[in-house]
Amino acid sequence: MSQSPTTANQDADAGTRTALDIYANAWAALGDRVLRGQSFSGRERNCAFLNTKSDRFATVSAVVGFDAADDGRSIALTDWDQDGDVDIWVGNRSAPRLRLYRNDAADGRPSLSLDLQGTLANRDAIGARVTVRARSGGEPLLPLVRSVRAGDGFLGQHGKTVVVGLGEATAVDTVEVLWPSGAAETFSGLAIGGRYRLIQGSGRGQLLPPRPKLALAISSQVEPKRSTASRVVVGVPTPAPPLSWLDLHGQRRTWRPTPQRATLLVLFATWCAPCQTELEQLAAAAAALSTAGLGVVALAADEVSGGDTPAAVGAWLAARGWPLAQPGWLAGLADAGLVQLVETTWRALVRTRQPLALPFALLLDGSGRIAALYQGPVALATLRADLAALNGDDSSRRAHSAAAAGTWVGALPPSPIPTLDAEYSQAKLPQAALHALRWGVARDPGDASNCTRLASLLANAGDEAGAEQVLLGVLRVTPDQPQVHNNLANRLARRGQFDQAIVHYRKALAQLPNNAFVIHGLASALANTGQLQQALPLLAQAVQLDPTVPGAKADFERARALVAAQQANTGR
Amino acid sequence: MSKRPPAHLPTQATPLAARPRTAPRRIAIGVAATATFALGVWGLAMRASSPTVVPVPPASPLAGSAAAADRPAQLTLDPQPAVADQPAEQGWPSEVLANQAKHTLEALCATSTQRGTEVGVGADPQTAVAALVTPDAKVADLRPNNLVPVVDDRRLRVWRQPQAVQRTFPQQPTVAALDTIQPGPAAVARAFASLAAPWRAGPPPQVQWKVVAVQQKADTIAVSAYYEAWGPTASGAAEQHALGHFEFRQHGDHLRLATAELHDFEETVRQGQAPLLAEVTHAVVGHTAGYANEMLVGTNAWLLRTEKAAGADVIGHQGLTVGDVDGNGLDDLYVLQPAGVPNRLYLQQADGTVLERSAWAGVDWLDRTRSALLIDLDNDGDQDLVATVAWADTATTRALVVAENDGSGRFSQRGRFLVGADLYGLAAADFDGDGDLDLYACQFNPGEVTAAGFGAPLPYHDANNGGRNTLLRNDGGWRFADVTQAVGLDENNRRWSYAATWEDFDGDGDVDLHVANDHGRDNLYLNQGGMFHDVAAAAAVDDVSAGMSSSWADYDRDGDFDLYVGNMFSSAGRRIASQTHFQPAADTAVRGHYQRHAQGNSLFRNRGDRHFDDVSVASGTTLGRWAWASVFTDVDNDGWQDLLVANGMFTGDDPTDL
Repeated sequence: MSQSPTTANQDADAGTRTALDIYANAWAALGDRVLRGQSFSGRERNCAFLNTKSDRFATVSAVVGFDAADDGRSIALTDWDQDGDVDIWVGNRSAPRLRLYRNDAADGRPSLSLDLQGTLANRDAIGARVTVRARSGGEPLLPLVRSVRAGDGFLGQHGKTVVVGLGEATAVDTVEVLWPSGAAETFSGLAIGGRYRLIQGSGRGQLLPPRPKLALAISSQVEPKRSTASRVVVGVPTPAPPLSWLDLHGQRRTWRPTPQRATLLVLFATWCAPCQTELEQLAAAAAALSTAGLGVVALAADEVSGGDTPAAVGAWLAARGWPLAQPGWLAGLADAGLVQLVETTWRALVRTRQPLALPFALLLDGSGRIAALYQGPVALATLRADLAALNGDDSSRRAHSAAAAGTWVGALPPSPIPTLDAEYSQAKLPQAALHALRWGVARDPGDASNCTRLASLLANAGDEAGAEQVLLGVLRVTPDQPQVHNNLANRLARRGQFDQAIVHYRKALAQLPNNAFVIHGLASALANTGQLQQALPLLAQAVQLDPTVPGAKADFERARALVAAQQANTGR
Repeated sequence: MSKRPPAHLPTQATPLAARPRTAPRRIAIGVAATATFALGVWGLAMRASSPTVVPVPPASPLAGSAAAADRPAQLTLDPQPAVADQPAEQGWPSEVLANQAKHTLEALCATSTQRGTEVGVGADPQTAVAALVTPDAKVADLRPNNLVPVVDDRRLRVWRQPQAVQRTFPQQPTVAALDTIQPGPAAVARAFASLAAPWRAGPPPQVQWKVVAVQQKADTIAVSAYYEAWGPTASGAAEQHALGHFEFRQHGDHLRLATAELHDFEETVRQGQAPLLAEVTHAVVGHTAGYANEMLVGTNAWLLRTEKAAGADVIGHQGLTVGDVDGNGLDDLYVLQPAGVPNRLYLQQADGTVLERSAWAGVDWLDRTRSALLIDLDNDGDQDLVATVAWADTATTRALVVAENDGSGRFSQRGRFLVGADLYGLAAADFDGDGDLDLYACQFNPGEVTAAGFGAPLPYHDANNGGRNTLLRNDGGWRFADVTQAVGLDENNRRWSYAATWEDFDGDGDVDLHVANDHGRDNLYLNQGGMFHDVAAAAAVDDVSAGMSSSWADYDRDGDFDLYVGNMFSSAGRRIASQTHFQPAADTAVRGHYQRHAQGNSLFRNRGDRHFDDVSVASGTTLGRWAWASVFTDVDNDGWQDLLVANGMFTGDDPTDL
């Protein structure tokens, strides 16, 4: 069990991990578990507590029939069938994600249903307080107080009809309504079991016609058999990584997008039965799929699990009808690196931590985008539909990625490039990260975040000039990017280009005049070009703004000493 | 060759490495002949306007530089593979003992009902029990023989002992009652068999034990555990609940029972085979578009069908709202769906079934929608729509979308308010008494969420770095003004808020506001003339706990509204928080907070003087498990409000996984 930190920097122990690192790790481990398909506080049954008219409720979840274990989330109450008792809708995380429980618990006990309508008050009468005074024979009962609310529980809203269970009551004396506007009103003459509309100011309840009894069959919901297959259509423009393999002659081949043509890159293994079925299906439909613009690259991942030669793979494929002579229909071997690349891509684009399973395929379009990811076999009809969708524009492709027809309300989602970058980098696949970032920058040269990151990777690979070019490119499109100016200035300074660095520091400073890091950077560059007199006050300012800026304090002391020494020298 | 499911490819586990950092280089620069400057050159620390959650503020000077060139990583900082802490290795022997105790208790129940598969097929029950208990074990009859009915209806009867004593734990079992018992396995077997009395004539009940406290003293391990059993009987159904106190002794790698006692025993019996709540979902919605392909597909499966960028989320936080959308006098249901799946609008027909009309109505939104309200915002007699809509997990905006109903059930968007990154519960009321409904929106995480979907509230038990909730005042004409600060609702408004409700808890004629916050204190904002002040602490409802849900009702029928807050009950949390070496440096108050955190739901009884009594434990309503919606309703129409709780965090697809 992790100790949780109180502040970000609290040290847990003498070890190298801070408290927050341990804490963050615990959360990450939890997320990992869940995304690998394991449970966490799962299989918990819903509860029902019965008011026993004493201090202690009774737990009646099972006998009442409410104890489903669906990772329940929200509850919305309503007298759905308008028979005078409250029915229950439950929304769940697991399937079935919706349940409606018809209330059969009232067992003949009477109630009163009230639909309140405001006139001076808000029309829904939200906030109205209702007090029902009833009697059992000659005995008045304790008042029953209810209110009308919009929003209750968790992510739920109940129906607004106030259903008041009356227990052993035989008659209703009065119903007092305190309207949210503050006015109070009393209604009388309401019959037990009735449904009434109470309009503010009317003084009398409007009897609503009773509803005929509904005939709704009781049945359980049967969840269809779960498949481990996965199909994710990528609606957001997302670049394919650099994919290369060894062909059946041992030559390295690289996938290049061809306009108007799509490619299905399939990872399989000769010992994998579903893979065989999948490939046979594809082979059988090769002509038709080719006409529809699809080429297929079948790559055996056998090597990863202990070896098979290109010749053997070729023979295996040929024996299963693979059209090795068909243009655009290729075969080869996938090495561990390619498998890791594909797996990392999958994990970047799909919220899962499950290991890759075969067959696994990427649908790649003619412009270099990933169009879909398939784990497990994909039906030909589905493949054809996904292929046809590639002809559409971005908007229609995004629509195709949804489970069913619908409307996207929000703005377009942000670029997937940062996620790809993070995953590729962490998997130590810098070439893939570079590729994705280049693609992102080419598409949107003004995206400061991608550009900054690309510059960083280029610099890491020793291409400082390239890094600077990228940053300059951003600034051409959107000149007002103080972070980019500062980043560029740092790089220029590192290469000794102080004059240019100063220009960019000043531009950053123009927008962030009180940022100690920028000020310190500018001061350093000035100092390095001999402008100590100008540097000194800036160093003082940097230290004053943020004494924790690394080195600023020391540099300030140093500069001050140097200037003093200079003055002493000249003064002598 | 037979068909096999997709084979798993043995790949190398990818260790999580620290994200790449751009190392700043220190350059010695010659300025004057005798002096050199060593100036580090690094980049700008990202001072974002909203705090990022991960990575953390720099512990080392280098991190500030890295932040410039690199973007915040979405993955863990830890260079080690992310492995859940192992209890035994981390010095939590109590966790190991808890599991062993649970195992022994389960086995004892199983053998006593002749189902002892765990202790060997065909084993003689007596022998099986002997292996689970100490030779001198003394156990009184576990099912009390003095039960009386406290509820006696035609369908339901609830039995308890005449004086149910409330106890706190850990607690030692009383020895006095055991003096008359003969020691040994036979008596123990009888004692456990006595529990299954309601099910004698049929299949054995399902049994569950939840260990909540473990204490080791010399060679004795004292354990407290909740007991529940449930299942159909010959005449209907029954369930039992109790709190057990046990002493065990270690025997190799398992625990043997020495003493046992059950307290607060409760048994409910239902007459009749039919449950009291009948499931009719399929009859009502089964024929609609999207039912089979959407409602019968769980969130785990949706994660493998939707790209991350669309906003696929693992936690399944999409809600339900009820309202009469088409004005035919029948309540309809709007079901919010995961990203990439259109929200479904079910319009109720005369026969109780529904038509699915989200596209026609213009509300078939594919964006991840979390909560919604159907309320008449313009007072023209129809139900308008408010919803919190997101479109990606790393977007920093969520919109509060407002749409007008044309009277027939068709909606047109009238506004989009970007009031937060991570909007949760919505609640509407006329806070200023001007006759129209104002909107309150909760916010959980203030900024980006991590790849795991969790933020980093600090400190965990009482976080004050969460999102800012918003009050939008309805100014008519579809104009809304953010008046949160102006009316005083920015006080204590950096919590991790899940749910809110408006209720006039002090009966002075204006609506007050309760907010249920995860990771710490709840808010109770008292409305005084349209200005608010947080009185949660003064009213004793600040409930430092994992608040998820808020609901009001006058459950004790004394004329004022009482409050039920859905929290998380964690048996693991209870066990651990009571151990002396949990948070050893923390003071008693903090440890108390942690124990509270794991306690479960809270019931606050309104005393009528702007003060509440915490009756959670005494009322027996805490054990909701990982509770989400926890609401009042009078289920059986007897005039007394009951409680319903929706539970469960993440259930994985592996059926063998616990």
